[in-house]
Amino acid sequence: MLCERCGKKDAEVHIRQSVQGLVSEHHLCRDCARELSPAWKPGSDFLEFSIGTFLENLCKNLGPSKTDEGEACRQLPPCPRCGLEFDEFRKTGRFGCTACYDSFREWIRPLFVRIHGSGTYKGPAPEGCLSSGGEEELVLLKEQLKEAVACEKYEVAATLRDRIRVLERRSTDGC
Amino acid sequence: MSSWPLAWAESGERPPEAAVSTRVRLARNIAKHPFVNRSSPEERSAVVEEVREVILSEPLFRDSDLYPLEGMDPVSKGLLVERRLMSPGFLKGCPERVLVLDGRGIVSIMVNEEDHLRIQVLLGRMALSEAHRIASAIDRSLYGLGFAFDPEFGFLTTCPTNVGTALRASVMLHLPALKLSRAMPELIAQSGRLGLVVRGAYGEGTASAGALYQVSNQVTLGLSADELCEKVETVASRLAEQETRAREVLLEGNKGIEDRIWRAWGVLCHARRMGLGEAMECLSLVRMAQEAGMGEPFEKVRWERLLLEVQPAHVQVKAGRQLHEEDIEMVRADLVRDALSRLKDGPRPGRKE
Repeated sequence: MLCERCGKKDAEVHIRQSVQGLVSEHHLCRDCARELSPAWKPGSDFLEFSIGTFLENLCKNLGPSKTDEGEACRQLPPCPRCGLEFDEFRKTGRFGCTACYDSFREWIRPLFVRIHGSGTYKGPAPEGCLSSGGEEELVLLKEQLKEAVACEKYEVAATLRDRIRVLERRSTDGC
Repeated sequence: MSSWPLAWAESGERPPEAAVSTRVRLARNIAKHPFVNRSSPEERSAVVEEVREVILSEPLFRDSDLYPLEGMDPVSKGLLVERRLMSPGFLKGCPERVLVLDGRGIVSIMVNEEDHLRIQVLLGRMALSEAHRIASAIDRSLYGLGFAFDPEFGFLTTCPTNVGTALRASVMLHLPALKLSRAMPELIAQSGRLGLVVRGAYGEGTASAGALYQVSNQVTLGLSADELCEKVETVASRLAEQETRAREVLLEGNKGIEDRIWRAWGVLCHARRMGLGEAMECLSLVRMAQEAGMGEPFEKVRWERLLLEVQPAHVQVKAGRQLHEEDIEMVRADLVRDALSRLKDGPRPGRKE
């Protein structure tokens, strides 16, 4: 089995995390495990993980990197509002604005499940629910769609079209 | 600022004894602005102005004020961090950082930290449901700002580890007996398996100065805010119960521990220089003696207050000027001796020049 982080070396460190009964597993090569474990000391084979730091480090380097999915990730259009590239999000582990969540929705769902053991919010919605979308973003997305079609970037166009549909549906539902 | 009230350091005797303070923190972003890490100075200033407008008009904030971090002296900033009214991370950042503080030292809002708003409620002892109730009321009063919310993911935050409820509920516990009996690493591992984090409140990992540990939720998605608070409170209560049992075993006829407590008392009463770690260790042992009913002189020590007063910024406020590390250690020793001698109604043992 290859390391889930670098996708190059054999995974030798296996971490099993159980959150609310939902078990997730991480398989890392020795080098990536060392990088994610701040407690690791040179010459030591023992890795001590603070789960908080580990998860934060993991989400700084999330997502597939070697497979076809990884390639698709890299071709994702940047967030139409703040311009954040998905690759930059992978490196920093920080979103740039609310619209990033819509831009990368399909790709961040598995990450949330890895971090939280769930990908779905539970609780009341605030009054005057303001989602990440909005009129302004719809306009931007539609412009990007036109450009993508004109340049015959059909994969990008398909992703944009899906996002526009989600936003339009949400706007019709009132949230 | 040092004389302002601070509710968590002045709480009563509500059980469990091991619980020192409770904190609930909510992260919120205003949907129409980019997050702090990708916004311009103008956009961050606009966030401050929008928050200011609500603070000035909302009755809930009538005792609150806004304090810009830019231009604030380092000692005042340190004081606010030591009082836990703002995060150490808030010391650095963009020039448009502003802290909103209420008059009782219970509510603070960091504006332009990692997220646009970090709403914090701090109470003494274990009071998570009360702290969450207050935080929710503050949150609701700010809904007019238009918080970023997504039906699937909940409240949207800069970092994916906060998304969802964007709530961090934590309880600070004093666990000297569990630390001395080396039970903490296993308990920390067990809590991790439940989706909770137990870490040293001062210092990193299992080596916590003063045996102070913070229990908080790691996950923020998938459980409601009430459920997260309940989970943290349940685990914190169990740790407090284990601490009580560990103390019974540890203190039962253990002359070694008794000796360490009296030595700690000796250091506090007579040392001429005192590092922060040493002060916190000694105060920790004295508090344990106090709670174990070892009687005079321990029962008169106001532990929470002293724990704050030995921190570097508090020491410098007491001295009335900025000090070098060596001088801080001397003033710290002076102020501890002074506080304890007043408790004993004895003469003040001043430092010989």
